[in-house]
Amino acid sequence: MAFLELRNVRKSYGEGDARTDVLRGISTQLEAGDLAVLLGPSGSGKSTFLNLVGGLENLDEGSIMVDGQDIASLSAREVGEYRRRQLGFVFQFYNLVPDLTVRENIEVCAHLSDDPLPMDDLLQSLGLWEQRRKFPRQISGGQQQRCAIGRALVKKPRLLLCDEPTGALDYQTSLEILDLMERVNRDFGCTLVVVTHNDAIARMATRILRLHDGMLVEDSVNPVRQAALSLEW
Amino acid sequence: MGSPLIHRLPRELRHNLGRYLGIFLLIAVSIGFVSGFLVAASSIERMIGEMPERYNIEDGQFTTAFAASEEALEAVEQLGLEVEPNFSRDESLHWTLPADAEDGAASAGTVRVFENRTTFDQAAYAAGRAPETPREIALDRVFCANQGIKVGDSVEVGGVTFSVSGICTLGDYSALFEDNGDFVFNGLTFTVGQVTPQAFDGMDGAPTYTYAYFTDRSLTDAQQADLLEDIAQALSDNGAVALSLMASSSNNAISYAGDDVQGDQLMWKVMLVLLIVIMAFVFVVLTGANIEAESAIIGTLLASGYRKRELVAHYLALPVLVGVAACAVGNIAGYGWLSAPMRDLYYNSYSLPPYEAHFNLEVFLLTTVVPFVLLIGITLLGLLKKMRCTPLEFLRHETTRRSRRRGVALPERLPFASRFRLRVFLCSLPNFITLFCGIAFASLLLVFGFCLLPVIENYATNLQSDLVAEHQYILKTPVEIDVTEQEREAQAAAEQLATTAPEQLEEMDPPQLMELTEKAAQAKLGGDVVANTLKNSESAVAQAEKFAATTLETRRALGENNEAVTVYGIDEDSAYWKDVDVSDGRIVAGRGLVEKCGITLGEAVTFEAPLEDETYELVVSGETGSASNTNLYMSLQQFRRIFDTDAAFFNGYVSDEPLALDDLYVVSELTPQEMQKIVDQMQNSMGSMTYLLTTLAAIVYVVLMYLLTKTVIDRNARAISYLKVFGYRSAEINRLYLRSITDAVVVSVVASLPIVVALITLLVKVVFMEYSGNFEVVVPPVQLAMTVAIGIVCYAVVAFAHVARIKRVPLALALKTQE
Repeated sequence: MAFLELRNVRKSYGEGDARTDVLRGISTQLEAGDLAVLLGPSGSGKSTFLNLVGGLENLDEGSIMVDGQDIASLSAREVGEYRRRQLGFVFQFYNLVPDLTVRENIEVCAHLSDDPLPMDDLLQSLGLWEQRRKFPRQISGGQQQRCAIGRALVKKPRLLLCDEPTGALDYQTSLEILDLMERVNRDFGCTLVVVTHNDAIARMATRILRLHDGMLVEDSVNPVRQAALSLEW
Repeated sequence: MGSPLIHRLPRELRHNLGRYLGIFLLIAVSIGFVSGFLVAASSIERMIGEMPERYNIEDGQFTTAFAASEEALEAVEQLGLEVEPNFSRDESLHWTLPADAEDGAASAGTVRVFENRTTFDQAAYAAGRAPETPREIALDRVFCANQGIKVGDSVEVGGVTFSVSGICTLGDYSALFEDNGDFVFNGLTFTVGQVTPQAFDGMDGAPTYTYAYFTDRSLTDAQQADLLEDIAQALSDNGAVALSLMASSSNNAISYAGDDVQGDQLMWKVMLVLLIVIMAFVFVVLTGANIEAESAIIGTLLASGYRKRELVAHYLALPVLVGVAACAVGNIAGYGWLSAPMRDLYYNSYSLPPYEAHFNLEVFLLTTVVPFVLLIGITLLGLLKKMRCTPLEFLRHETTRRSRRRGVALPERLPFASRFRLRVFLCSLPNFITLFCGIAFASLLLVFGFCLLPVIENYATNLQSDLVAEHQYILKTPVEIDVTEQEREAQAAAEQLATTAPEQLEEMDPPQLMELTEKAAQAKLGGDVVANTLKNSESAVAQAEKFAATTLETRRALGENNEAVTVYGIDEDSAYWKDVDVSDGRIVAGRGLVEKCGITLGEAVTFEAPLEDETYELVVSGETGSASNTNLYMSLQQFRRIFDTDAAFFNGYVSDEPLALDDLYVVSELTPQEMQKIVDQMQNSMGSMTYLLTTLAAIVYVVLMYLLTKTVIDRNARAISYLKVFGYRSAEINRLYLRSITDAVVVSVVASLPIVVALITLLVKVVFMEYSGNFEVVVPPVQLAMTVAIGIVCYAVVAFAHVARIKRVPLALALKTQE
């Protein structure tokens, strides 16, 4: 059974003449441990796809099954529990709490888990040990994104949703972040969905999904995965 | 073309409606209450100022032990005064309680009866008319209102039934002080009234021989003091014994209401300024939060060429609009609706002529221009300080010192939740500091309202505990109760001769007159001592103890005025003043006197005799009694020596059993029950003030707590949204954010109490400094607990609103790009 399955998912915004169909009957399946890269130009519906899978928005039609559970049928409280137990989020602009240190930002999500990853080990593996007492504004964008990934990882999510995780970073830092995500996928067996408009990133994926104008125009398995650190663009 | 930024103002108002509504409400309510009060108070003050002319109120009065002789009165008039006899009789008064009267309500008291006065100290009738028949009486308005007495009702005066013909205000009794030395007026069991001359003559009670005098009203205080000395001298030179002598400015029945209205106005003005300053700081905090939230926009506008002053004007616009609207609405409410309840605060206590509202420019400026200037000035300063940042700092959201506070390292061994809450607290420190000040101010209002009565109750309790006997009588002259039947009869004969009109004496049977004269000739017991004409049991005589008392004055530790001190001469082996050691010439002061006048034991203190040009240097060697005891004690022998009286002089008795004394010689009788009157009257007149302060404090609590804690939620809305995305439950988010706020509020409410109590102590000292007596500040723990409880209940209301607000923070906020 697929770990993540979307069936004929539709989502639109507005009404009447102002109605915009953002997703128009998307169907796909991901297996546990997949590293899927979702590509597409601006306005193609990538972020909406991610928000629907993350339970941040309600779909209009269809269903989204995560580990056999239809999240469209869950109550608001149950969706909250789903995010708490199963999901991790990584955003383009990190979304760290500015008033908390690096360590405390990660602790925000460690607090949600009965069995979080050991904090010191995680900080070491993220390369943030020296920065653990610093505040977001005192560290670089790459370090902030590593902190955001650590925050998502610490509660051992089964599904990690990443929205343009390298969109605000330079090339070298982007490679470091992608390498980290690759390790997360490999070492923790976590399923990743990475939204990006950078086609080059697709070369490190196990699955490639491409959206255009709300429709899934590509859904393929990547036969030759490339290591993140060897990517070029 | 106007600035396009102006289009943002209505949107900003809509977006932050709760915030601006809260500020508007607090300013409008504060100004409404204060302007309502000040309009009423200034109108009343003006009316009181006009009363001496309108009702020809006396400029002063003196009371003699017996009717003053023609010579004595002429001597006084030769000082350039007009003198009018203004005799009164204190009679028992019984009335019927209304059906809805509370259990235990008094239905008996005392009425001070005057003859109808038409040329001076005139009455203003609120209902009915002046008495025209011998069985009619007009009574005071406040007393009648308190007891539900109406025109046409029957009352019993001195055992005789009278019909109430009118309800009035007597010009010389705007405050119902039974005795000028009383701490408070008594509109519950004491009243004044007027009857026809025939009715007055027919009454049994001993008359009080008071004379009103009229002089030049422009006399200075010093000239008035000189005049009083001259009057005392003129009376003394002509054989009249002056029991009291005072100018109207010292007569509480006349001057107290005016002084009270003046003093209260200052308190309300100070309160308004404090409230407005706090509100201005709230504006500064809120505007600062707004600027922080709009930091990127401001940075962009500055980078695009906008001048700082244009942006300052933009961010000042809404505070100005809200301030103007609140000042206008507050004043309209104050003049239109709130001045009536404020007027009633005084009309429930003081007997004043019908109210007329007057526009007062000073009040208008105080409640409109001053708050507005303060509000805008402080907000402008706060804005200018914020706007000192560079465009780049705005663009980088580095506009505050928050970053430094963020940088505080917190021990990692602290649980995560505690550290999180601490961070929330540190980031909103200016809000919480302002909140602390606001809460302290609201608590000050509450505790002040709550402690007024306990302070008075404590004072009355102390006075009761300082009363050494069930009865304490002050006499006009030494009256011996340990006398034979023959001596009593002789004194009765002497009194009959002295009080019977010459024409009636002429009509008497000569042998009878002879017998009366012979008996009267034996009346003298030695010195000024007279025999009591009424018989007392042997046991009553045996347990009664003589003392001497007089009144001196000494300088208070604070202020310019003197404190009246009752000096007692007591037996060295007194059975009543057991704890007061006056042996070997020791002089002992009450603890209240030592505190209030800053007396150092062992050092000489100067005391002045108010009616004589005498000063006394007395060394106080010990203290006694409660903090309300402002008396001075010495042995009877020392008293007689210092005040140069007869060797047998005394003028009072203390007794646990009631003594039968000739009314003619009794000045006053003090019992523990008298003290209860103080508490009853204060409860009656201060109850509404306590209610008012509680209401105002609750409004201040709720609005300030709402405004300042809402900013904390708003500032953290994005982080709250993150937590929701991560899967935090509402209860967990509430625990992280609301708990920080709750802790800060609870700590502020509790931690501000010591400061509040210290301020109250100071405030009460200042407020009561002008009253006779020393007031111990008592803030009972239960009142403090009530203050905390009210603060927390008010916060609970706010917290419910915040729970809803946190619930409404959208998930989508986390997904938006941060500006």
